[in-house]
Amino acid sequence: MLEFFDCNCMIGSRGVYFKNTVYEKNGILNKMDFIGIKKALATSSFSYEYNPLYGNKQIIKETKDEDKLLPVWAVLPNSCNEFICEEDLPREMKQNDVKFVRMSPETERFSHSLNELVSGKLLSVLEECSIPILMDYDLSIYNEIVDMLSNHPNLKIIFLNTGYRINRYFYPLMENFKNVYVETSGFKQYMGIEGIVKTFGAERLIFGSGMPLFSTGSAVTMITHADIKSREKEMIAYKNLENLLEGVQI
Amino acid sequence: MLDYEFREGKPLTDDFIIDAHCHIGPWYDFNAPEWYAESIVKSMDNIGIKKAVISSTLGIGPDFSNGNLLTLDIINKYPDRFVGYIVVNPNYSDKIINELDKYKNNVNMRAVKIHPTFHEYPIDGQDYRILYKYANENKMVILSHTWGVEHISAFDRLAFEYPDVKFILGHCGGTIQAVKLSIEIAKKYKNIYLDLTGSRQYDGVIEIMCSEVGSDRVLFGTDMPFVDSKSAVGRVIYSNISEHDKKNILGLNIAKLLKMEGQTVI
Repeated sequence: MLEFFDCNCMIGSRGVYFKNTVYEKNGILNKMDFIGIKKALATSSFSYEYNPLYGNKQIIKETKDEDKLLPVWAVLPNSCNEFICEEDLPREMKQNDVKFVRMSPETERFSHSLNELVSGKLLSVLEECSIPILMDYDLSIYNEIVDMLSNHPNLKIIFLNTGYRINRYFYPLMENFKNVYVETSGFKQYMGIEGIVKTFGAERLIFGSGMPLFSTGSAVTMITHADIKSREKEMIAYKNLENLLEGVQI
Repeated sequence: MLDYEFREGKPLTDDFIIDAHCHIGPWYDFNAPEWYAESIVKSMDNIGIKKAVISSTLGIGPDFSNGNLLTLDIINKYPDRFVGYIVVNPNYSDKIINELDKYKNNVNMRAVKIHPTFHEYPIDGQDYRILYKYANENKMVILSHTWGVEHISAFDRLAFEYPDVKFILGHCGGTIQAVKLSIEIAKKYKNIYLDLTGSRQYDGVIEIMCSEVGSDRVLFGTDMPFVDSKSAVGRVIYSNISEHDKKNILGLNIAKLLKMEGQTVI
């Protein structure tokens, strides 16, 4: 049976609550066991809905001594001296055993530009250390993404929550920038996974569940039943993310 | 239904799996690798869907009349795999009755589909009421695309005004707030059905629907070729509900609604 390594999980309470959804760590671990998710990258909901620094401390507490949960830090450019200085970030990440970061630059989230003036230093540091970025995708930032990748061609970016209308934007992106990856749970397009595997190869897709907000059953079935080879399913379900993890140099 | 074979990637083998909300044909604002019936049938076989209730994208788009004819063509080509929704467009209100009459005795066209978003018309507008009156007199089923709380709210009145119409809330309005409201309205009116179709497949929703409304009014659909069928099936199969509830949702409900019970599908 396929084993899964999930790149898109969030732990912690939320401002908008839907009963029957499990937001806390133990519930999420139980769900992972049921579904067959062996490991998950986890961001704190507090990073997302309150403050990145606070949330990053929370996720370290939550994931301490938990082999199945690997912490992800939400990061901001430090142009306003409100976050960790870019030069210090790799060291702080190493001290806390953090290997992935999450960026959400769109207006409705962290609201900052990806251009060189604002984010250049941060992106350079992440690129130099091969730290993969989980980035919440929004159409409004597409042009900035293109510029960012042109300036930082070795950045490894996994785009989350893409929606299903992305091909006309993402096919050229993936053609031109070989370190662009798409997380699968948000990419629910009809035959979308098959299309990317055929055009770019299975190595460009990374399994994600969108836990706890979205159905893990949906997410895994998209891979188990994809019309692709078994080896390709294994790559998407686990190996691609494992390779990115092993490539981090901090 | 959630057995080792399914977890290994094998299709479901039950013969009652029916997709209540499916389309065939291209759409203008995005690319999909494939759009047409042959691909949809292959995709259905891959996951174990035996039949799908379809409307053509041409119909929900600019040309309801030729769109419905196209739907019939597809059904004729794959008679064991598809049944159809008749699409009507309120912007052509003088043609609604005629279009419905055209298919009145056609067993392949079982219900009506409306798309108030693309057709830019309020769900409770006067011209849709021409349809609702006809549907009420003839005890029909209407699947409406819904998006947002405003769409869902309209059914709080429509379900009351047209008690012999069975309204399927397509996508249950999509957003979490709209889904919550859909559940509340379904609790009030027995002629409201909750459609799970869509790309926002929230966790925990199916369980709430089953416990507060009952699984007999929850419908599974895929929205192919917009959204992939695999995620929609997985969401139901892995949900924490009884096998009986899963079977209802995955096909028994829509079969009953569209009077397809007892028919050998494959």
